[in-house]
Amino acid sequence: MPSLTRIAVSNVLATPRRAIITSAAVVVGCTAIVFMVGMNMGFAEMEIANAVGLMLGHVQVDSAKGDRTIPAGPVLAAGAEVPAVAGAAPRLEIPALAGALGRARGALLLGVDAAREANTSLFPRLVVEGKLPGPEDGDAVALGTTLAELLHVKVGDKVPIGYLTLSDDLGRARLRVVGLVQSGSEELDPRLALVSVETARRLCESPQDGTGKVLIKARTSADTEAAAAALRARLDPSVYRVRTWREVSPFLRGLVSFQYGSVNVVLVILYVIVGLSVAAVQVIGILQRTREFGVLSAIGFTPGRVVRLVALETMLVGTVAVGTGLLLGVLVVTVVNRLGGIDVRWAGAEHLEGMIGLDPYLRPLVSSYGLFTALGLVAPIFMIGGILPALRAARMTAMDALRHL
Amino acid sequence: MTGALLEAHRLSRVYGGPNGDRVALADVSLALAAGELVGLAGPSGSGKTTLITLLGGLEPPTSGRATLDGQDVAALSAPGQARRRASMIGLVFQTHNLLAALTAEENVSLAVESALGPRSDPDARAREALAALGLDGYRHQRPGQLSLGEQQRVAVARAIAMRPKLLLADEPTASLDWESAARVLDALAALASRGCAVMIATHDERCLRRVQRTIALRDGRIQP
Repeated sequence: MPSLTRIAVSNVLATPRRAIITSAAVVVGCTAIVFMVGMNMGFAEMEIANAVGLMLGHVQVDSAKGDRTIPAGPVLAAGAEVPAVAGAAPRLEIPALAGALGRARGALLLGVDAAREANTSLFPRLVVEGKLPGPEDGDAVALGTTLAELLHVKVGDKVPIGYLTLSDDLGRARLRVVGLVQSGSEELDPRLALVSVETARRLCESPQDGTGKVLIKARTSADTEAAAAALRARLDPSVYRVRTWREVSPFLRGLVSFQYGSVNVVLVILYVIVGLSVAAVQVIGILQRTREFGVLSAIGFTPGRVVRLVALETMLVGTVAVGTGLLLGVLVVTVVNRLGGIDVRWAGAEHLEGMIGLDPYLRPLVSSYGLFTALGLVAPIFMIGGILPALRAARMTAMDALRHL
Repeated sequence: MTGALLEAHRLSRVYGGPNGDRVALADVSLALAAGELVGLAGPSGSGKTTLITLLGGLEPPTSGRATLDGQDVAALSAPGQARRRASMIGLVFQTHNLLAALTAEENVSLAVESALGPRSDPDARAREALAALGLDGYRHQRPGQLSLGEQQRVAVARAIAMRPKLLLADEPTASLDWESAARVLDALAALASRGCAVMIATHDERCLRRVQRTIALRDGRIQP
């Protein structure tokens, strides 16, 4: 019995070329949107990852009362309990002056836990010679490459350091250079002097467990808020202040927001192109069937039934096409991601010398936002593109429709 | 004309065009009783197809009116006209107008379902109508796989299977050899014998010899 569904299925199956052509526009459109949204998200993720990878962290925990140090233990323990946290590392910053008279430079003596930094920051990857100082290295330091050049020191040399203790007394030490670090940051490399956090505590007379702040790395950038919320719930708010990178760095927040906004402009253009293409293919396809609708009208199909038939066919083709497009989009994004992403230097960003150690690979991300955007844009346009011309054809007299070429 | 199933009163149809209006049909009045088998004769361009489309409600007349079973053919809304076509009128077109995506049986059963509803066993009725026209072996062929003559017979089967009260056929034997044409005419005559009013627009003398009476059209007017 030829129910409307059976006719719709027969129509679709009997005209595979028509179904493939209309589907192709939808598949390409969905794939393009999922990929482009994925690229946008990936770009933002790359930007955030690179920005938070050195001094910022996804989340920072410091003193709620403005104290120079906080106990690190409770924060590190809380971080270990939170699934959204990938790593946590104490940081103790000490203002310092490095070098002898005539070659002295302002420096940032930064106490780090080398083992924890591996899961938290990019520093372990930025060592170009030697290593980061560990607790066993005593009075050892890893210098920024530019600072080492300015001071004319190399690995194995000793460098005099003057610094402020937590009680604002002047202290001094001679630290052995055990490594050179190149962050690529013009601001950081001429000032950076990394020591173990234990050495930093000793030098600045900090309490045993003291640290200036604890940097937290979230599993993904999207986990930032969840990680911060979980830490806030676990830490005493009268002692600890928990802030996300958005709160710590309004500049970076603005930059990411600007990037989203500007790429969204490109996406809107893509949406318009995809929308128009899908609508055009669908409208042409349906208008070509005007004569067929005339036949249906002649054998007694009401205009409503003709439109229902077209809607059913459109839904059948659209469901398969949108599903295929979304799947293909996810597949392309996943494959590009698994292959390591797109090297933005190859794509025109040749002058990234300053980004040494940072990640120049743009990895698109599968996101529900991308999937819903593609679905929300393409599916309605495809349905409307099918139903509107069918409504128009159904309103014609049967004879006018039959005369249609 | 009282008691007629189909009545036309001063039907006219004028088509506008770049070269001015063209009168396709002018002041045509006629009546058809249930069970009548009537021929509509006339040369090409005489208005036969236009008359069929107006009587079938496929387009409205410019003036005049046609009534089917007492109801004005053009007065109903588009859905109302479609429903009436489904329930009362069988149409056979010059150009067959089969749905290319459906098989011969599906083309017929779709029309049956549309006319008589899904509980009328449309598949069985379609098979029966196709068999009556010698198309038993072509049920599962699509129109593109059939010859023009076979397509025409499927179109006739579609109209007959709907069990219409009025069947309007436009050149139903034009693409057929004599044997097939005879089969089609037999089927139409059988339908008329069951009470359906049948009007056949044709050039074909073989057809005109089978009808009960002939209406002649020339330049859009009925000839006396």
